[in-house]
Amino acid sequence: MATVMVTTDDGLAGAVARAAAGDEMAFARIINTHHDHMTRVCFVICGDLDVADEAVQAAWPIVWRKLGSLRDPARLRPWLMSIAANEARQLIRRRRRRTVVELSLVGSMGSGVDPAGAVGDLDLTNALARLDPDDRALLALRYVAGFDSTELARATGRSPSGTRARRARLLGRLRTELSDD
Amino acid sequence: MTDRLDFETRLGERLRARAALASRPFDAAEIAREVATVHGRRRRIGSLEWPSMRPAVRWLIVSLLLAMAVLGVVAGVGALLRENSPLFPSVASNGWIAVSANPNEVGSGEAGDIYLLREGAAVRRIIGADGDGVAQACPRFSPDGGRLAYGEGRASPQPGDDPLRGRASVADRAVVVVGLNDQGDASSPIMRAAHPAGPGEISCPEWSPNGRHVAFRIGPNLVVADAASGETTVFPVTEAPWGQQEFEWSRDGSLVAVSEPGLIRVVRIDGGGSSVIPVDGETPGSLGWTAGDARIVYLLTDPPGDGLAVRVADADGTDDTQLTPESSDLQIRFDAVVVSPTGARLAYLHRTYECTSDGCTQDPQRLLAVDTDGSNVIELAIPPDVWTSGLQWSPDGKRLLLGWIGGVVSVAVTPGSPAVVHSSGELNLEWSSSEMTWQPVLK
Repeated sequence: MATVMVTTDDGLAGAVARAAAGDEMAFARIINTHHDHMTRVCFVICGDLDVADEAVQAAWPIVWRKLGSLRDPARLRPWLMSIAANEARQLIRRRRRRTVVELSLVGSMGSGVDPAGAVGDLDLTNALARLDPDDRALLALRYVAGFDSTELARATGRSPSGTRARRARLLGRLRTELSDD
Repeated sequence: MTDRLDFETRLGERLRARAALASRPFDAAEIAREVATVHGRRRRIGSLEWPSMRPAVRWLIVSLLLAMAVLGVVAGVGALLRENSPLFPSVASNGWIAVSANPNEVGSGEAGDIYLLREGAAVRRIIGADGDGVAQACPRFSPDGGRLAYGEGRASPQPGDDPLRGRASVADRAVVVVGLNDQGDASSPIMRAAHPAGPGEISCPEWSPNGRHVAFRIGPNLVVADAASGETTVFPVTEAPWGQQEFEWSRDGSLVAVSEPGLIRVVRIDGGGSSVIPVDGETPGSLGWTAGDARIVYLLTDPPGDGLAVRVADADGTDDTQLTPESSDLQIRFDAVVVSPTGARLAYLHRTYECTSDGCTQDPQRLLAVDTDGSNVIELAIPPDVWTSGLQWSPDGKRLLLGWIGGVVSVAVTPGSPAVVHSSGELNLEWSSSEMTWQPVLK
């Protein structure tokens, strides 16, 4: 099986300007580039693919309306991820008032799956389910979207040092719950 | 500290693996359209109010509006049912043409670069440079027209190469995706998938129908790469001879048909394995899917890879039918079968030749278009002096693009319309006349 190395570069500055001016095609290009990653972030927060999809669908109209306020196109990706994460947190809170959202173990758990890996995934799913949506958002933005402390702080409205402390507490809790020796 | 970092690394990996399960197909253009329509930055026109009028007049107006609506629906349904509509649903027109070529004064030792062409505009190189030793080949516009994928590699002659027959190995092979602005200027790479394998044939990418992935072949692998993140999935296939690395996405993007010696492999990209369709002849060429992914078109080939017949089989391999006439004359060959954007028509090249002890002679090429069931054959005129080996449909399905050593021309699929010369004399397409792509401009 071949290994493929990749490098990526956003290069969407022109598309941002055109989309902000109302260019639907340019907006489609932004969606095409980022929709999948936003869904992944939201999935870690919501634990349910349908709810994650709903959150991202709710994020795009906000992006469309506010794109003109994005001063630095290079910050497009973290900006989009923050909006999607925020929508996911709000959605999960609204749903929690009405019903319990179960975090499901989705994906390719068909034949040939490693049983030990499946159990580990279930442990992680349960551990995530016990966390507050804000904490899941922090994990998703840090480890799936790749935010640094400054970006995390900006996205969560806390100071960078406060975000680091919160992340350390969160890691300690997860380490205990996942029985990592 | 180390333990904590190890745990954090493992946690990150597990979260990313979990998040990766959340990929679902989506239609970016549809989302954008819906958002722009529902949440558009448009001024409100105001609410509709009935002017003061008698009730009978109101009813008359309502009746007229209803009648117009019914007529509109009837006309719309009629248009949908009309066969062979040449317009791909969301394509408004045809934009730039991109080709892989050399400047005409440069010999075959210089690897190809990528140029943009448009009727009435000067030929313009957008990727590559003279003497850089890097080949950029097989450009492919994304379905939304905003990106360009191509294969690249550094010239690296190997034993067994035969540049005079177009066999020239390259090293440092990669598939690259760049963005294009409205002026046709290319961005820096958005994605670059580099192959660690040694020197060999350059990889040619093909976009998935929704524009989210590019696929390419390298040795015994079909690689599907996310066009934005570069994440890849690898599917094992059987390596095909040099120059015959054919594959084609199904129209719904769930399958990829791959040509292998003596068969067509149909790979499910959801990881559900693959099935094979045994075919006569050698490695089949010119793979294509008909409307609704019902049938697979292919070229039956002889050992050098020349086309002996155009055939079409059901996607499960049954009902394998020959579309071109059976002939006892073995000196007829078919090339470059391409399926129209609607999936309802095919076009292909037909040539006859005769070899005697004094040498070989060839009749002029013929360009034929036909329905996928073999009916409604029409012949389209190829401009004089053009001997083409590359054929492509325009995105709107109204023209056919022909590449030959000296340039690129297009002809309308309606017989009798004049040909359009997009490039003639500026570029050398000796080994790349099939490597051209036409940009879709969406509505």
